[in-house]
Amino acid sequence: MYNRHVLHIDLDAFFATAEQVAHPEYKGKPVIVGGTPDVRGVVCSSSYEARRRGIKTGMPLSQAYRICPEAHFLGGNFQLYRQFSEEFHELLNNYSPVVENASIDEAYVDLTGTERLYGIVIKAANDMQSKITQRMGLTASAGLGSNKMVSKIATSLAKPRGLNYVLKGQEKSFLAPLPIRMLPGVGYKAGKKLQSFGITRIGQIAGIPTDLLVVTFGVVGTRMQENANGIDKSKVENRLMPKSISRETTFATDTTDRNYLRGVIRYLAARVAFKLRKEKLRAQNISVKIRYGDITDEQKSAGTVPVSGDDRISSEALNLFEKLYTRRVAVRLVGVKAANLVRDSWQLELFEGNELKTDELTKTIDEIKTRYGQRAILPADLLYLNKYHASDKEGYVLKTPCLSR
Amino acid sequence: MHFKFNHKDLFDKIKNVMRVVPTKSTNPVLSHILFELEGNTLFIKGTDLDVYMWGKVEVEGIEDGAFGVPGAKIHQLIKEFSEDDAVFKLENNKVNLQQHEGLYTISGIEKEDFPSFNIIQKKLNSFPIPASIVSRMIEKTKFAISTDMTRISLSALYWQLKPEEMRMVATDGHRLTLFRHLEKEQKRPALDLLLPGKTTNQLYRLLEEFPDKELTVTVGEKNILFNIDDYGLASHLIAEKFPNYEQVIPRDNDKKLIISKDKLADVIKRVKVFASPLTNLAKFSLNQNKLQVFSSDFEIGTKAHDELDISFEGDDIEIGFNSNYLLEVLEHIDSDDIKIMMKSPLSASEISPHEQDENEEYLSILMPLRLPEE
Repeated sequence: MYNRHVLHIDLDAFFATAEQVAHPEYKGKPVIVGGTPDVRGVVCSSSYEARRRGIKTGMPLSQAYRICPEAHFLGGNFQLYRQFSEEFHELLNNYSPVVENASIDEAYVDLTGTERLYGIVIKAANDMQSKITQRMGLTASAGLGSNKMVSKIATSLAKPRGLNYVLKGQEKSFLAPLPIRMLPGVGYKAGKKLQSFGITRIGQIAGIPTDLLVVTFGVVGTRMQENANGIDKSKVENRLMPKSISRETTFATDTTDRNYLRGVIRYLAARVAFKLRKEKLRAQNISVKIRYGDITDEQKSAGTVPVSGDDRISSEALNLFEKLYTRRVAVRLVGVKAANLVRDSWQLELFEGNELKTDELTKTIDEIKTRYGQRAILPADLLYLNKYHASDKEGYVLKTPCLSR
Repeated sequence: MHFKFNHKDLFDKIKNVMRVVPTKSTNPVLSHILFELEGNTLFIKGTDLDVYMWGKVEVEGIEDGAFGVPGAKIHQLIKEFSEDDAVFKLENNKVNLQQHEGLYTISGIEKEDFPSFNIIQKKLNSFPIPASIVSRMIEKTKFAISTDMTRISLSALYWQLKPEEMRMVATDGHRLTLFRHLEKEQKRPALDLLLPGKTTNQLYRLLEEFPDKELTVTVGEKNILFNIDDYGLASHLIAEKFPNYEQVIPRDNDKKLIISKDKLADVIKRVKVFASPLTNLAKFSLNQNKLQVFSSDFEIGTKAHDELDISFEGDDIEIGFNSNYLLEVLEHIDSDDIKIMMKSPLSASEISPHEQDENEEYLSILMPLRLPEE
């Protein structure tokens, strides 16, 4: 049996650095991606120059402007980021057959058993980092360990541009002095609870009996205990298929306009459907999310036969929205998500012959959209959105476009 | 009510009537079977409210009457009785069953509490048919009846009676079976009937027991009644419209495959083991002299490929089928060779016996599985 070697690699300040590569004039200057300071929104990503002045991810843009008014505030060019992301993931695939794309800018690479190929594994990690800089102009930080959790935490301590190697057998002592919030599964609530017991370091969690953690946190307690002891059994998985595809948007001002909300849901549903078809997937579960002005989130989902058509997904999403939108409070955010994805064959119907016709129609519409942009062809009732949103080739310009998969 | 009965005669009737009695029901009345005595004739009746069934048996009547007894108990008891005569006597709302020195007492329900049997209000038609023909037609078609109760019209067997032929059609929306029985002109009314799937199954089981007898069909406005031997079976008819099935029977399938049924079934059974359990996809790749069948399951990393020498007329084609559907079709075909007519990977294929009796036409229509894009 080989020793397990899992590398976690993460692009540093991805969106902001990508902008600096694409626009050399921003180089060495503070860059903030998220929007212009006059609109409501938060910092999505910021360059290290901005971070040095105290800009943090998630900070309201208005506050960021007060701290660092000379920064370049950018709305974000997601097509550009996607290109970089694809190149990044492709590069990693050269090093191991098992690469898990954890998100747009991070991945796990299973290097187990590659010692004979690369010599010591840390060399392979170093090589990846320098290739990323050479070829893409970006920088990456990496963590190497015996499992995914340890290597991810190691990466976060290596930022920026660093490489941390946690030797086999050292996992527990590596984690012990770290603050509890760095442990996966310890969020805001669990963190507060643990703090109220006087627990602030991961090492302290490692010493708590599993039973006690289970009583306090439920089934996740077992996992928490294992993690605190440096154990993580999860595999690095070649995720060829995304788990879900979602699109959501925050409104410039909270709204109660039902027609407008329905229009946006329809638009987001069509974007989700378009993406599904592009990835040759079908969804068996559709869900809708609403965030009210008072920051309470509500979500509802429904199962369905495998679908990828605009109509089916829009009508399902609108149905869910009607059930969900019950409070008379203005809405701040809406989102549509497709999950339980299948990429396989499906049984055709004998009597619904027009299903094939619809498929043909959808295919043609997709071709038009791909060629002339998302707004080249639209259901007429979506024109209602023209009143509220500017548009470009990529469709309506919504805030915080979401690329989550 | 008081009578003497022969163990075997009564047991057979109870056994058959018990088939319609629900084993689990929220309505306790339905777990009973009704005994009704008129002179020397005893009727035994059971129902689940969808299907009504009764058997008639000759006994030595002493006193007329009617009473409902728990079906499962009486069934079990009479099964264990020895093959001699026994006595059934109703006293003080309790049934006493007596054989030799044994006395068995059970309570039951009044006739009035038992669901009413006046099911044919208005008789429209009545005609005889040989049981063997109806039984064969049902056997060949019923497997395609939909079990999805949200599509009522598909959860039924469509029975078309015409002067010179009878047809039975079943479909679940993915596949369709059609059996035509051609005959000399009959003095029979032309009728289109939609028999509920449950009724179809009960009728089939009953017909299987009497292959040589004649079945009498009585059609009412909303109901139907079948009589055979000493049994009666009644049910409602489905009032919905059966889909226009003739429209989906392909007329211009131009690719013809003749193949040994057993050889094809063997290949599919093997390939199916390695297919994705979500779709059971078996991919056919056909050219002039070879049929290749593929399956794979990405999740567990299996891959299968098998092939057969064939005679095939038409352009090369790749088409996917649900292997379970295909196997079910093959199982119901009698002839050694089958004929598969295809057109495209997205349109229906037709499967039929290569040789058929001249008074029969049997075919199955199978919609393909859409192949994953590569």
